[in-house]
Amino acid sequence: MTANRQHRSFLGAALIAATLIAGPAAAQDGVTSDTITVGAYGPLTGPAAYVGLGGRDGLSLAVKELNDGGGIHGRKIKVVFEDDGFSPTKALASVKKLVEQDKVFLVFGVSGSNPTVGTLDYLKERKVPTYVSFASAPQVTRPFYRHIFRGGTTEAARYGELYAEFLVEFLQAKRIAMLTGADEFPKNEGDATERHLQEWYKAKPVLRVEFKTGDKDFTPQLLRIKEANPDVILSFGLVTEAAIILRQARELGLRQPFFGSGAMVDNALIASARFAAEGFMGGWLTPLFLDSAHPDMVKFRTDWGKLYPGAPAGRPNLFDVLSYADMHVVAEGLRRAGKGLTGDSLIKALESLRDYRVNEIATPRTFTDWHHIGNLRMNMMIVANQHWVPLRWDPKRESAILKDYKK
Amino acid sequence: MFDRVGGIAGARGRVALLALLAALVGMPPLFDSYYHFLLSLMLINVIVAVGLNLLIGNAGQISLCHSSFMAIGAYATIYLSTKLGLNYWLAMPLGGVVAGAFGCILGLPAVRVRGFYLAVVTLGFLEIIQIVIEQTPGITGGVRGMSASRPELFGVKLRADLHFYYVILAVTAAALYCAHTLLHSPTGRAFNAIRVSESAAATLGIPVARTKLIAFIVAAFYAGIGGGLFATLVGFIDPLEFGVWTSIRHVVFIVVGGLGSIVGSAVGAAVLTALPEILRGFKEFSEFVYGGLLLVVLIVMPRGLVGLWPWWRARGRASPPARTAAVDKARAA
Amino acid sequence: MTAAVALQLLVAGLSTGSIYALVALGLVLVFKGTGVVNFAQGEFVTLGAYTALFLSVFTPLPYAAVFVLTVLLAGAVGMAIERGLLRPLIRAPAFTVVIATLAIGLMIKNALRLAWQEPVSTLPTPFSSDPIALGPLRINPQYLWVIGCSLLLMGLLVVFFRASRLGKAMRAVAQNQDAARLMGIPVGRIYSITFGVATAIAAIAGVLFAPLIGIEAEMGGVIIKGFVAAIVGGFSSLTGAVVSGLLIGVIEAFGGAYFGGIFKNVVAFAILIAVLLLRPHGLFGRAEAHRV
Repeated sequence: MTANRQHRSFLGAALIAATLIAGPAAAQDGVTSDTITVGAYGPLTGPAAYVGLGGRDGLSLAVKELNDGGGIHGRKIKVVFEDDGFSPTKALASVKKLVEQDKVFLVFGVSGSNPTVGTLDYLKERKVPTYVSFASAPQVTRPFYRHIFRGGTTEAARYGELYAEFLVEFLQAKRIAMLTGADEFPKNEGDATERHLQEWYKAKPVLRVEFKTGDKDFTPQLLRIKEANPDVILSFGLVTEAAIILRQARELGLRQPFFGSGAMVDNALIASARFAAEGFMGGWLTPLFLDSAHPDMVKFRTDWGKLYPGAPAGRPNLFDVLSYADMHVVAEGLRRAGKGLTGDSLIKALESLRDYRVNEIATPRTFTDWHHIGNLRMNMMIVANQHWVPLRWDPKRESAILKDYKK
Repeated sequence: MFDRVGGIAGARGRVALLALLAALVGMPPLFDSYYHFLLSLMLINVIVAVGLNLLIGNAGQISLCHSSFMAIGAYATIYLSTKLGLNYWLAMPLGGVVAGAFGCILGLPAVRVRGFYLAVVTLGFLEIIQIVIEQTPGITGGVRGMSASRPELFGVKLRADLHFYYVILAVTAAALYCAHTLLHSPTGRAFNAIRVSESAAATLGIPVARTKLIAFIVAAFYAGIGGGLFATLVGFIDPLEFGVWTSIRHVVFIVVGGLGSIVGSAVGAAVLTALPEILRGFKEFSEFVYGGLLLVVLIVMPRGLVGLWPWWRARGRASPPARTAAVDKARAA
Repeated sequence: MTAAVALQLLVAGLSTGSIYALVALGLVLVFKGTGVVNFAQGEFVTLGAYTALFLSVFTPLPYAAVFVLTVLLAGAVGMAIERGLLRPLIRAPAFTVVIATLAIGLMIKNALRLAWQEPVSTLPTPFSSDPIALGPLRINPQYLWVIGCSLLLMGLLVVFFRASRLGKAMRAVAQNQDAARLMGIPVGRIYSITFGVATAIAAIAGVLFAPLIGIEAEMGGVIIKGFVAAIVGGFSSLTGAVVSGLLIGVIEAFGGAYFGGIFKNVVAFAILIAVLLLRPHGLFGRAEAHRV
């Protein structure tokens, strides 16, 4: 009898020991022997649907390529995508569902700033590895948090640095007029640009006027700008308004060049504003424009077209390219993390990336163990002969953003 | 089971209510925070919808700016608790009071207009509030939005959704009880009288303008409370959350639930808050499907879900005049 | 402000005002004729613009053919929607019908948003974009085409309602359904036709304004200004709707010049409140007889 009891207690202890050893590895959510589950959220409905649809489809194309190539260390990637309707409330609900119901390993964000910021507290609390592809809000990377990375889009402040330097050093603009939309992204761009014009060059815009998204007539604002006689007109907003602004500006006799938001660099602008768009300059987040003849971009378009035959006009768009590139960045991180994949090993792996990109359609990404801002680059484009053409210009000033982190 | 204002009455009603309450208290700990979050959102929408129903379903006034009062409550609560350091349990009701004050500001001109004219005036109010929110980033964070953190209760921070859910449940119960009491009071009867016929109500000695104003203030207060809870539940708000579509969604809650009925509004709010989550599987088609379902529901149940209850159908009094009467009104012009 | 600037603003204001006027016209027409407040009117403008876009992209038809075909298609769709979706709600409370039109608008907008994902598109027209110079003024010929077409349309509608049998039948139904029915007028069919005409007007607005404001899924947002114009006009008068729409457009343009772009939107509502305070039934409305 005593021997039996001893046996049982020994067995019990062994079982407990086994659970303790096996525990952490088995408890890694979203990773099994043959699958890695990635959760993603972004707007599939509402006025910002083109962001989420591009984000989802680019991401899925990358995943398909990876799975067709055998997966990562023998594991295939499964994507669960949730719509957030561009609302912080729905984004938080989506992320809770992904983490708690779908038990994802990693959250991939292809939404705008406000919805993304709404999810950060929860993701930080749960220590879920998070990769944000599109949102430019500073809260994503500041204060520094181990589990959160920002990929394709650069920081809001960086837009201001790049635009200010471009305007003053490259365009040699002395008198700058600003026409900004009242939404979150254009407002951020406008404020950041104004701030850096002041901080770096002691320059102030001669005029700043605003408009609301959905406005269809900009005559009052443009007449004021005409009166102010600037060298360059900055216009931050969306393509729809930009097309009207450019057309009306030329009609009213404004001859100055326009420099615009990253959001305005789109073939639709040329198609709508036609010759009024000539000479329009703007920033683009990847090295190649969508209609480039570079073999990497051609391959991307071909593969995309094969996976999504009969896609509507306007696709693929910038967001398809960005999320495709960023998913490959994540994949490289998964690869470097090795077979024993955990949140920690992924984070360490991503932090080892230096100037990584899958091919020429992406900007290189760098992460370190003290900052997770993957991209600080933009390419300036200009409309020449009804096409977007890259301008050969690289910024010379070092970004103050990383200096802030080093403190 | 229901009384004439769609409140709970009778023994059967009380038993059903107790059973529901027991479920709402006892079952959530079995689930995880996604469900707590969802339930909390549903309850907040119930508070807002019940308040709006007092105004539209009972007092017969049209308001398309209800989300503005939510916004005012939300931003006021955050401002009072963070910038002025007030205890949240004081700030949140005060947020409701501030919203009620704005309800009065809207009400003063609004009582002079009726019908669709009133609807468009409320749209104007919404537009103005949106602009105020966007142009005062110091108080509201503007278009960049604003964070809110969970309050402490008896020294315990209500970080877990489940704990905050119980708070919201308590507030919702209180709100429903007050609405029920209000509708059974002389003021509540005055609401119904005004909706049916303003001139008849006036001849009965009911102060029409003042009663309408009270309706606006109470509805705004409810929305403000809902907004204050909403801000702390979600933790981050921006002006887009309080736009015209949010207002329209609130109206849809009570139309689908049943205008004039407390239970109807509560059920409508709960079901239609859960519906978009259920429709997640439709991805980019979910809004299209939502619209289609809504249309089908309205055609099948024009008086709302509560119209399925035969007794309510026979009642008929709660619903606003049908289209044909509106057409006759227009002909006089 | 110089005279040249003022004239420039006036033309811009009249052009924007014309779209408000057309939307308001459709809203008042439907309300007077069928008692429905059509919250989908903005989406019908969008539908008209997209229909014209698809026709010009996928068929070799010229502008004139595209225009006419779009209007006819829109009218047919409007009639079908009234017959199929709104007729079952004929005895429903007013609120239910309003939400039903909202649901219809939501479905149309979502379908279009997914079918064509360019952020904005335009419509090719036979008019050149080179502005006509009249002294210091520079006017895009499209503006003149748009204002001219809108006025022509309004004129045609006046004649239609006064002189044609169908127009008179629609007025009869709007005045008193039961009397009209007693006179042998098929009220149901008139409802459909009224809705179809309103949808056609919205489509005309969409086609006319597409080259000026761009075609995108959110362009239906113009309905809010349309509502304001309709109310300011009295919500029962077609002329009132048109005049108010133009007035609001012009005052917005000048308001934007004086008070800045953001406050342009408030200008419309400020006008609304001012008018309702002075004339509670709108500029052209008449006091309702009160049934005691």
